Amino acid sequence: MTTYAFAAALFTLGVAGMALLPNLLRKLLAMNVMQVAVIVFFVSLAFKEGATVPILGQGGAPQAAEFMNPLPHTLMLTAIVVSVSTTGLALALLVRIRSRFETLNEQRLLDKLR
Amino acid sequence: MGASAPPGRRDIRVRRLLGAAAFPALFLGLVLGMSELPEFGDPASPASTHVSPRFIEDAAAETGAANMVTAVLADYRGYDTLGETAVIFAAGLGCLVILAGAGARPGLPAAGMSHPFGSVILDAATRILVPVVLLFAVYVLIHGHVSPGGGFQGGVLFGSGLIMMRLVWGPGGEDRAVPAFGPSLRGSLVMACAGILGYVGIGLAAMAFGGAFLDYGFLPLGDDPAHVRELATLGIEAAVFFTVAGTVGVLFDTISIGMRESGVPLPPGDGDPT
Amino acid sequence: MAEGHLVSVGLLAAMVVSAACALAVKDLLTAAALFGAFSFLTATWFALLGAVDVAFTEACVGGALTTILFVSTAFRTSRRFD
Repeated sequence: MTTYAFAAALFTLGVAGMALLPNLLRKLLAMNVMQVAVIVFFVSLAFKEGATVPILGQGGAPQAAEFMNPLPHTLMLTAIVVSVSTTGLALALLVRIRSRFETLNEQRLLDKLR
Repeated sequence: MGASAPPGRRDIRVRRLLGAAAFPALFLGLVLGMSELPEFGDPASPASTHVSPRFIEDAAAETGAANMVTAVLADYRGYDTLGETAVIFAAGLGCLVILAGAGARPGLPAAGMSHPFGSVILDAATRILVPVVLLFAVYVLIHGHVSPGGGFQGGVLFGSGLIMMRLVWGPGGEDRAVPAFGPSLRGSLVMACAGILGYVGIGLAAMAFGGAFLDYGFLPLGDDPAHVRELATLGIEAAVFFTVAGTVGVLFDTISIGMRESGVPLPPGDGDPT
Repeated sequence: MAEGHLVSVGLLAAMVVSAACALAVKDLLTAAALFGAFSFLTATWFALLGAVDVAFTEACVGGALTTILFVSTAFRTSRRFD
């Protein structure tokens, strides 16, 4: 339960940062923290007491109780790589916004757009 | 947005405070919801007893990959991984489109990292490190069946090695100090395109031999079906590897230096939007 | 690795603290470095949970690549958050 509570704390931190921080780059960092929180939660769900890493060693037929659940691992592996490409795309947009409006502060951007 | 006058800064501050009060509520709600979940590490939880045992027990025999994550990623869920790879490739293309022509503007360091950080120590260290990093990336790709690793990790490592070369020696290209392979934006783009096309090509080849799209068992690579699927999985991982490595290079090149300095010709009529 | 073990609780607390620091500082390079530290702590936690592939990817992507992208954005825009 403490693990899930920590994941919830990270998620709340990320959402709060996205909502409250004034700078778009910091909002993007907060979004990354939020994504990592979701990944932490899924990987915690895959954990089984007394099991080992989901890689088959030498030996006989594998038993389900001996290995961690590999399905959340797979989902989260692709989630991480997709998160880095979305981060890259967002950074490209931010570079473009900065070169057009010369600020990344949300309030100043809104003032300039008005 | 309301129809009245735009909110002043004080109103925004009040709204911020009210918003800040919502986050403890969000945290409490999440914790309350999570308290209904099975205990952490419970081997009898539904997630561990319903779908996953079939994959844990049969993956190695069916696909020939000892690493179950690789087996699920590149074989059972191959169609989904094609989608993920396409998302990554599209993100690289998106960066290229967004930053095309975003060049120099007075007052901004538009050139960014286009100048190499050359020094004797950096140069010597890079000469030693880069081959090791690139070789390790290929090892991670090829050994992904039986150890942690695979196309995604190997691709990111390979891209990091290329970025290291780019940082120290400057952008590569036909008329640059670094040979054209890899570090130039054009090379990265070609690599990413080759990767995604190779992925689709493997899927279409399976169709040509009578299976469904990405149904590797039909490829004429041998008699043992598990071995055939293992080889095809390696091909898929290699395709993912090239897509990710190329996209990493594209992302870094477009974000750090922009297209104007990178040696790729700009599309006609695309100037600086000022 | 039972739940509530000192190592796991300490690691999770360090993750939350480093993430909070990365969001709190006003300098982009510092924030990127702190985010890299957060990613490596997360990768260690994943490895403890037996998710070696996820840990590997998180260390490569979060610790190296995301940090590199943020630093190159700092070169292209400005180092200080405005």
